[in-house]
Amino acid sequence: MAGRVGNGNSARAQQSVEQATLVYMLVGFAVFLLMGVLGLLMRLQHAGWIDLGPRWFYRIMTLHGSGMVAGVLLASLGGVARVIAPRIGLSPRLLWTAFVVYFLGSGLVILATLVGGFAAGWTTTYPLPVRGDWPMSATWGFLLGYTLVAVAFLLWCLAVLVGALRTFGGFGNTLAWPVLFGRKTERPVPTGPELAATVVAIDGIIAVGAGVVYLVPIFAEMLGLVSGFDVLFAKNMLFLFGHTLVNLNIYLAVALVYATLGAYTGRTFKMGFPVALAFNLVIILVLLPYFHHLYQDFVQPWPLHLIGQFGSYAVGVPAFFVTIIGSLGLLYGSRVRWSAPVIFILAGLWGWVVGGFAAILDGTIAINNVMHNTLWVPAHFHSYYLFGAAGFTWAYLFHTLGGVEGWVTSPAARWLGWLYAIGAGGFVLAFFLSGLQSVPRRYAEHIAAWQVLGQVAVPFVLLLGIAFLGLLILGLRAVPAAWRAPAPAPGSND
Amino acid sequence: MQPALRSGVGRLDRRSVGAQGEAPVALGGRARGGEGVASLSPRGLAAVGSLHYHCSNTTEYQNDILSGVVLRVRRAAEGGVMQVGVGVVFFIFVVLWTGALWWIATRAALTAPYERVSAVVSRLRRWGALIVVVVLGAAFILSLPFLPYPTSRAARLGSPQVTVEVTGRMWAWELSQKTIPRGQTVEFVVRALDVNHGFGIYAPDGRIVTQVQAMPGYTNRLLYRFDEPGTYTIRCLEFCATGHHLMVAEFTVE
Ligand code: HEM
Ligand SMILES: [Cu+2]
Ligand SMILES: [Cu+2]
Repeated sequence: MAGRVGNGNSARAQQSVEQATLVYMLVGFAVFLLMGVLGLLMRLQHAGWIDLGPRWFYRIMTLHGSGMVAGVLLASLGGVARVIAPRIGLSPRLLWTAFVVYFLGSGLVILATLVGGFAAGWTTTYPLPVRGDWPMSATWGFLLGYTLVAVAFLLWCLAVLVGALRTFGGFGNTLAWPVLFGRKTERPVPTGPELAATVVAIDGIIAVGAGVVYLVPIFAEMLGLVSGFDVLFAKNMLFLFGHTLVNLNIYLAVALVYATLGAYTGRTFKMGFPVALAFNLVIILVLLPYFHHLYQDFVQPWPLHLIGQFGSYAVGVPAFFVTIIGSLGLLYGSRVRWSAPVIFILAGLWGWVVGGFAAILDGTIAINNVMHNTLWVPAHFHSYYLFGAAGFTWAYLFHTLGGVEGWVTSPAARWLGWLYAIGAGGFVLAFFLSGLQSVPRRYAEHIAAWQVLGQVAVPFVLLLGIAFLGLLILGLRAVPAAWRAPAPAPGSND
Repeated sequence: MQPALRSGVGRLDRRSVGAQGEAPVALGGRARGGEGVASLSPRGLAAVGSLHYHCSNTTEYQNDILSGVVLRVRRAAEGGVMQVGVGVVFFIFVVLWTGALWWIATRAALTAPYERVSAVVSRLRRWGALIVVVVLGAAFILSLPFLPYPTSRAARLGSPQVTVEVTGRMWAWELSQKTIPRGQTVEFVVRALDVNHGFGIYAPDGRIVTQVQAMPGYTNRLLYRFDEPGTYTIRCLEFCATGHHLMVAEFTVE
């Protein structure tokens, strides 16, 4: 039990942390499956094979988007907390509290959409939430739900930041500046996952701040305190919040790649200069690309458009050359133990890069003028999410439930892993082709010429569904053991 | 000055025939009709970095003397050329990246000392990052002349000769005129009455040629020149709730 650093958790606290984080991941996974069914419904509608009607389509779309983002985020927050808690010392009580708040918030979002009829899309772009054809109570429910989710996320960020500062001492050390500038230090240096988590915490706090600036005037308007406010400013705050939040999810997921891949390759991700540099750059770069959501708002001051294009190009570079090339280096010639987590990570690298490249194309203002708000956009973020952010998180979840020797290496698990990759791949490629065909996103009705690609997508979604159900069945059997498992020695994760 | 610039755009189209060939046909039959818009093709190509920009002050686009065959080929090439350019670049990238990962996967189960792999990783990081930064930097600069904003478009197309007032509201478009002369620079003055809408223009062949947001409290100006006659469709491209997909209108270019 040596190796307890800083204010690391006791063994008992650590076990409670592990239970809490397991709940985060399992609930996130369950939400993912349910929201996936809603996704299937939407693609069936696009194929022209079912008719939900516009009201239900848009409610479902709104719930699918917000539910997926929240569910995947919850799971990766749990995974990362589990990885970093031994040294950073996250309190189990805080994790459970945040979970309850998160859960209540999500419940409100579900009620607001399915019962209340709220359907302004997951982005809820002002002034649509207050001008829709649904009751104001639904808007209240939805936005309060978002607020609770944001509060829970903020709690997580604050806890991580405070814990990291205490463990590593000061911002410089916490951000691995000794490694960056080649200085000696007495203090421990953060590992990759710890640094990634800290970066997410810092930018997460900024994003939530923007979310508050976005939501407060809307609440004020609903209370009759103001009659309205600037839509351009609102949109800037909205996407500073929303875009940054979903972008941060991938960095959480990257922390989980660091924590998983080593176990199957016998190699470890070293905290070195490139990792330190990349994550320090990300702190700033991740805040810039959101401007690409406003390229078609011609009244936005033009330098901001150019910053958006710069940020969209730049943000991927550190990630690619550190995490992606680094992971491929871990795999190459490692006599890897092929298993569901490794396959998910490999597929995740594929989708993350494909989605990233698609984003660079669409992040080019000249191209965006004909691609904006086509299905190219969901194509990009589904690649990035389904393979990357979510895929990496499920890799870690399966690893947690299976261990290096467990069911994850069974032929069934491996086959299901490949099946998922094929299903998700076909599904996103159909989306990309639809985007090239100028099919608009967020349309409840598709004209005949657009339906073909929807029809192509459906079988792939079904493959995806089968793969996840299979993995669920395999994984569930391992849950009781994972719940009871004694806490491993603190620090064993680095 | 302006005629020269405009004819420069016209010239480029003909060049793009050679550069693009039958590409649109290859990409899922999107070349239907092929009512391309002249000014789009050089933008699309240059934005993906595959065509050099040349200005020349030869004939006006309208006065082009092209045989029927060449015209048809050119129109096919223009049909969705921005989207085709993006598609080609994207799918080449996907194939290369899939191949690279496949190659790594087949070698993951072999044995290679990690020191050697690490050395390669370091070199890849150093040189790869340098190359990517240079390529992205070049793409950034090359894309700048093709911004869709009014000053940039006016420089390419000439200042507007026709003004069309556009108003979006839940869930309809109102246009001050429904016919637009071809070959003239049009300025759409776009407003919204209630929530954000997206003023998206679809060519007769079904592809988006340009768009701008319609925002309450703001006026956005969109410049464009239609060189192909036909019926163009306006679709709302910003989600505006229940009737979003019904927010369709048409105008003709003659
Ligand atoms: C499981 C398979 C999935 C399927 C079949 C699916 C399908 C869909 C479909 C059909 C749409 C509507 C596209 C449109 O017409 O605009 C959509 C939107 C969306 N999806 Fe997914 N999706 C899946 C997974 C995910 C994941 C993992 C995420 C991660 C966060 C996600 C987040 C979103 C978001 C944010 C939207 C946009 C909602 C909006 O426009 O308000 N989806 N999805
Ligand atoms: Cu609209
Ligand atoms: Cu709309």
